[in-house]
Amino acid sequence: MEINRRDFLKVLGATGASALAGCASEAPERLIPYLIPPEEVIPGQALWYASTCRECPAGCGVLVKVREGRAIKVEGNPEHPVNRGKLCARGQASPQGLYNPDRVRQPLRRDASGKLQPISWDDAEKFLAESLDAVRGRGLARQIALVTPLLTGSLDRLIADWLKALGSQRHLRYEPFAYEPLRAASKICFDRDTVPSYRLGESKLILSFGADFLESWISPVEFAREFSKSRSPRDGEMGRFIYVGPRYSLTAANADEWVSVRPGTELFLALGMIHVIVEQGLAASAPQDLTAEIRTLVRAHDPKAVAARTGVAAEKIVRLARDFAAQKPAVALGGGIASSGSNAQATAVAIHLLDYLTGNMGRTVRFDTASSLGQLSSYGDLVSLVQSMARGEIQALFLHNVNPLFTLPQSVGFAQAMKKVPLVVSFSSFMDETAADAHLVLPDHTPLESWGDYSPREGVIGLMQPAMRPLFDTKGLGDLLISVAKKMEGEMAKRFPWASFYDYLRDQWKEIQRRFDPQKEFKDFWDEALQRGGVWKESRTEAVRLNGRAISSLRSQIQEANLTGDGDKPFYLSLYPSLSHFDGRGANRPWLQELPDPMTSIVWGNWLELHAETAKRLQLRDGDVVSVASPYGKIELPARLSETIRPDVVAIPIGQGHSNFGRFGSAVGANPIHLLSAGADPQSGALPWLSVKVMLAKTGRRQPLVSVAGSENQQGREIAQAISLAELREGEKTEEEEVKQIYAPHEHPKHRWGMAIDLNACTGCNACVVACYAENNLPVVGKEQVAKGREMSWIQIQRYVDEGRENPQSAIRNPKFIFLPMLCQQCDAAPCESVCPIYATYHTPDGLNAQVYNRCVGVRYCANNCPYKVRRFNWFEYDWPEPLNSQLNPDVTVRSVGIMEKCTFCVQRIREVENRAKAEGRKIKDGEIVPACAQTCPTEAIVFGDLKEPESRVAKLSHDPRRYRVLEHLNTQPAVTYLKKVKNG
Amino acid sequence: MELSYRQINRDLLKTMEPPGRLYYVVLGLDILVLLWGIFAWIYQIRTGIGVTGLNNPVGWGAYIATFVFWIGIAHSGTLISAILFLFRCRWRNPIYRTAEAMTVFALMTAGLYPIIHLGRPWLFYWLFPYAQEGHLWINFRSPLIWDVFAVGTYLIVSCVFFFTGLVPDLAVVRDQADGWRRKIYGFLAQGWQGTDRQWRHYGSAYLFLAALATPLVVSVHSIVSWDFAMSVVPGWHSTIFAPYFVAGAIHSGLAMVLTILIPMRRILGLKGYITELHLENLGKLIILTGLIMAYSYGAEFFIAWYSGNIFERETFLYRAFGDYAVAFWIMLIFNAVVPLLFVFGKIRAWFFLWFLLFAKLLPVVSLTEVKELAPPPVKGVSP
Amino acid sequence: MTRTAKIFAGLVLFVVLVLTGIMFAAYGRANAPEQPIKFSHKVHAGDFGIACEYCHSYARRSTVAGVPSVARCMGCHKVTALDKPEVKKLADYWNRKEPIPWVKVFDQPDFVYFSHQPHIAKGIACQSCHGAVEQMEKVREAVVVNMARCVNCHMEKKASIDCWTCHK
Repeated sequence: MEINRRDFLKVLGATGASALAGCASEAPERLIPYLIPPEEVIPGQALWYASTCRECPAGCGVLVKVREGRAIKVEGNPEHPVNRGKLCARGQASPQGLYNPDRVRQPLRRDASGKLQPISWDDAEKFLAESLDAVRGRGLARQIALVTPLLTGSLDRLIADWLKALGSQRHLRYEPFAYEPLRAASKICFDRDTVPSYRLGESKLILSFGADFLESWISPVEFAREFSKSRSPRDGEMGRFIYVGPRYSLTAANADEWVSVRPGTELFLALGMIHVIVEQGLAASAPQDLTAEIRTLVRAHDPKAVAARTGVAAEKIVRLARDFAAQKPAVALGGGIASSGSNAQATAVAIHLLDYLTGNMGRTVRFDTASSLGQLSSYGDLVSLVQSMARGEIQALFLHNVNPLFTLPQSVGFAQAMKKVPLVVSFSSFMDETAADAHLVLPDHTPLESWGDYSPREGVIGLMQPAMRPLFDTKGLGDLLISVAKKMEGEMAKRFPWASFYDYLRDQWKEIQRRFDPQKEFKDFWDEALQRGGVWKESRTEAVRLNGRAISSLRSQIQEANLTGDGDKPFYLSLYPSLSHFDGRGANRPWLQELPDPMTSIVWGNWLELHAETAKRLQLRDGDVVSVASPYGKIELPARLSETIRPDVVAIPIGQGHSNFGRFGSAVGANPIHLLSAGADPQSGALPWLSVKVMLAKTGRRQPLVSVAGSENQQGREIAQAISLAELREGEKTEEEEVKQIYAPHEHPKHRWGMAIDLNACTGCNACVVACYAENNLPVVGKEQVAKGREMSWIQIQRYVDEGRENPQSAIRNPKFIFLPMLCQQCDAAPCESVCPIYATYHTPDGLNAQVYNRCVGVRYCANNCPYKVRRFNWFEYDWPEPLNSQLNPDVTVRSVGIMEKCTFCVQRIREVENRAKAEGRKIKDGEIVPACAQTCPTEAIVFGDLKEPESRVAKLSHDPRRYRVLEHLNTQPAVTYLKKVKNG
Repeated sequence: MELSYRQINRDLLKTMEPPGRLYYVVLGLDILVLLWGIFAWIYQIRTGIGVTGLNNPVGWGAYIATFVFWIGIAHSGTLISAILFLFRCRWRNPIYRTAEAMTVFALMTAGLYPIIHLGRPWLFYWLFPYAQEGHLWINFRSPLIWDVFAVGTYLIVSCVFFFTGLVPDLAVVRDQADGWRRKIYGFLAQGWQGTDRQWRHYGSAYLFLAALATPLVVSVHSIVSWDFAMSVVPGWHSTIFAPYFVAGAIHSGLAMVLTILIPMRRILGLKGYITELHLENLGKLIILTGLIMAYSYGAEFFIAWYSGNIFERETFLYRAFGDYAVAFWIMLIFNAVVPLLFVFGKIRAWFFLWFLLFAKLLPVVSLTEVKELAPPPVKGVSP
Repeated sequence: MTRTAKIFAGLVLFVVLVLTGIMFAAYGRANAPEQPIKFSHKVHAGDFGIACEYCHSYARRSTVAGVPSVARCMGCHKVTALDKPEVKKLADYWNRKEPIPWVKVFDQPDFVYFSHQPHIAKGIACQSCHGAVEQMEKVREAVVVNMARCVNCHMEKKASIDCWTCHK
């Protein structure tokens, strides 16, 4: 009898032993065969599906590794033009969204008593259809609103069509970080309502006015890659990077110079620079007609005047201006979240002007590919919506993957306004604050289970395909909308004839095919696009002209940022998106909670950063709980003292402080967004993130911060080393030291695996740390255990103060950090190997320091003897609450209690490639084996390969003039070579 | 005071009479503590070593410190019973049996700790060399394996030595006992009749075993010290460790002997046998070992400075002035300074009974707990 | 018998019992568990001469050899031996769209990573580790594949005996 194949694929079967919980000997293991095996699946081998990451609007392309029907790892897609195979920490953590134990697993409806009860999809859709019909019947279709994050392409169009068919125009695309000032400035200056694209890689000088492009600004993976290109020393030269801002962010820590500026006065600094450039005739391109206007505009802003406003010395302003004009090409960046005050638009215009005058517009700042950020609604639009809601003018509100109750300041009044909406439907996958208050929760698939497409900018369209079947009883938003339309009266059903969103997607792609490759058969085009991960094409350079309006608009807007909140000695409040949690969406992922913040190494919490002198004045120590009060709200946070923030500024990372976000995200930290004022900037519609000054008060309570860092101070240990560009130019070569050994050295008959880590390329972004957690089944131990120093990270980004730094001149110091990825050095003369009583750790013939888990009895002598302190002990039996255990990599042993573990150079990947090469009868190619950390590093700071192959990258780098080894004097002969960070001038 | 054998027998056998109420009360308390210990150990095995508060990088802590401590205690017993025997020290006679017993029990206690501190203690037998199916043997380069052999040897030799020496005395008890007690003591006494031939064999056996046990006093704790000295850890990696530990072992062992003897002579009424002379002599030995300890500390501090090794210096400074400062200074004072006060006869006599009770507790505790504690935590975690 | 002799005999007996117990625990796994369907390798692989890899088709390409899908069984049993009760059971599973939950006979602990592919590539016969399966009515662990067996063969054939080859 013939059985429909599709039916049987519904039975999730996999060949292989089903995992058993508990002790081994009781119940037998089972072998579950397929019913009908899918052709492409070979049990035991992974399948890779191309898709697009949706953790932020950058839209990097990803490849999802699937084993036996389970997605277990997400990596960058090498062909995608945005990220070129690399992925940030948040992207690497996306499997924990898919497998989050606190996902909404089925549709829910609030019953009469106010509790959310499960209902069937059919009932839910019927209810929704009826409700919408009722609203339409009353002629109030205009009062239906749908809020999504930044969506593009098919789903976006479906939503727009759907709403239009209903009779509504209220489609808002809302991102908390929407860069409205930057867009408005681009519109005013160059008639382009979008965010430009920046070519950092070609820039000889990068000047960032608070744009944290290595953390969260626009497209961090792409910028990190570009940045490292600019900063890699070539022919004795390397790009310079100057960061302007009130706080020493991670991005600032990678700069040659940090210019500390009073918050909200970056505008004046830019104007001062323009003044110098114009007065000294350094402008490369100035439109004749506007030159005089520009001169008039900036006349009052000479360096002295600007110095008084900004706190930046006049000579420095002159130097900055001259350098910026002299380096060609250079680039000035603006629009950073933390520095966006009420004058953000004007600041962005001034920065555009700066770029324009120095001839960088069209070279390093381009508008040829319009960023999709231009399609976002502004914060002001959302505030209008809330006002409509409050007036009772919204009958139905649909929320898709947005959490306004968390990301909007309390004073906007979303919570109260939401109560006035008779029907609130959330499509959220997680029960967050907003979903918890909805009437109907209809959970969408997570991105790894979804069809779709996403285009971060013109010319790049990434496809999304499900990497596995949906885990729970969820439904894709597109499918839901089509299904509901079919259940509605009137025209709706006819307007949406597609069977599913998948069919709709394919239809949309027929149009895309006509644009990209009209000659091909659609089937071929579609299959290739699926395999590749999307379609992309080259962009043409477009010249832009400066619009005179820019000058006139600027003239009227020159003022400092307006901050409310004066009291007795208030502080500027600087809020910035956190590297791991972004706008809060990452807070329910345990990997991200346990990921140390790169600048403070704090985990599982957030903090109030304030200057040590301020703290002394207020009698605060690290960990003292401080009450932070603005005119709009009050929160309490533990204090963290810092030397690298202005004394009149306090800073709080955004992303923690959820009241309701699952077991990992709830009640961790405090949400600083509620301190902000609600008012949108009248011109750009932006939320001024820099809008309040706050008062601090000691509460007397303590909440010690949990940090994984030891001492930042190297104290002469020479662990993280740097070399100046001058020294590098001189070609100071360190001689190859003779290896001194009593014993005969190890023989490496076939391979000798080694690694080279370039400290100059490492930006400290911590993507490698999360990748390692994902690949190697590392457990998350929780706040309490990390406080005891028991975190399990095999690779750690350690932050050290560069020992050769200049001495501080003023209260605002400029320590230059070096970020050092520390992992098991796989020492050839390993101190750990000789002391293990039972050979649980020993040296393999291919140069690795092996740790055999099943042999280890947990004596811990090896960990004592490791000078790098990279060995991790399983102090407890750690668990992965379902379904997080589905993410576990089957190629890596899950360690039980009492066992020592450490970095293995991803031996499972090494063995896999070795086996494959052997099966194919060929040698291993250089670069074929890529450990998880090296694979994801956006700047390619980590290189792995065979030290016995003289032509391999790693062998060459191990003889690089910048090479050194950590704690070399101990003669451990590590297989990891570090390249010194290069100090620019 | 001339004592007849009969008198001695009578006095000593009196100590084996059925005990009073107090004994059973204390025994009951001890059993409660034992049960609590068993419960704690089971909990630790089931939950994981994490319950101990040990963490990175302080992977060893109280457990290994205790292990070293108990091995050290054992050494003193062997010193008194074997080494002083070879030196023909007559005054050791009343006390050496107690000392030997202390050694045996100390070793048994010590032997437990390497098992207790394991992450997977049910696999402890992997530390022994045996033909295993995976062709795996133990790593003879590891000091922990040296420990296995050293402590194992010491345990076996001490047990045999103890038992051998005990045989004539067991015969005395056997002769006094009846019923099931007589059967047991009879078995243990191995048919001892006290003939000349038996005494001659006894003398040779005892001499031989004493000679065998003597080098162990020096070697075993040297090997245990190399658990630390053979590592690269700053503060541990020092050549002074072997003599340092051996001296320290004897130092604290002597203190432990006194801890046992002083109450015992009072409770069991043995003041005639364990006289003040014995206590004084032990005190003098403590002066000797105290001097060696003082030298060792001095050598350590000197090398920490002289070497110029920043890690070594930092470790020393941390120990002296960091989180463990209080314990460090207590250790220094009570191990090296206070015992030197015993040079003065007045102090010896006066404070003997009381002060020793306290003063030796502290060196006993402090010496090993602090000394063997692992290097300072790398992270800013308070201990 | 003298007392000493009695004690000695007792000790020997004790040791023998203990060793027997250990041997039994270690090697007594010659289990032949009950399977959901009484599939006979003797009939299929022996009498009909069906090659191992016809059903266990992934051995040449992957770490696991695989167990045949229900579809593979039905490939023949759509038409053959329909009257046999065990085949009826098979058809039931197929009609219910339920995979057959076979009991694993050759199991290694989770920390052992054995890959079939390199061993098949070296031409090692299935029988050398799985025993003469084609003669078994019921699959049993005729060959005990413990670490000693693996290491011995690796040593003989000069394959890698590095721990991290199999215990990654």
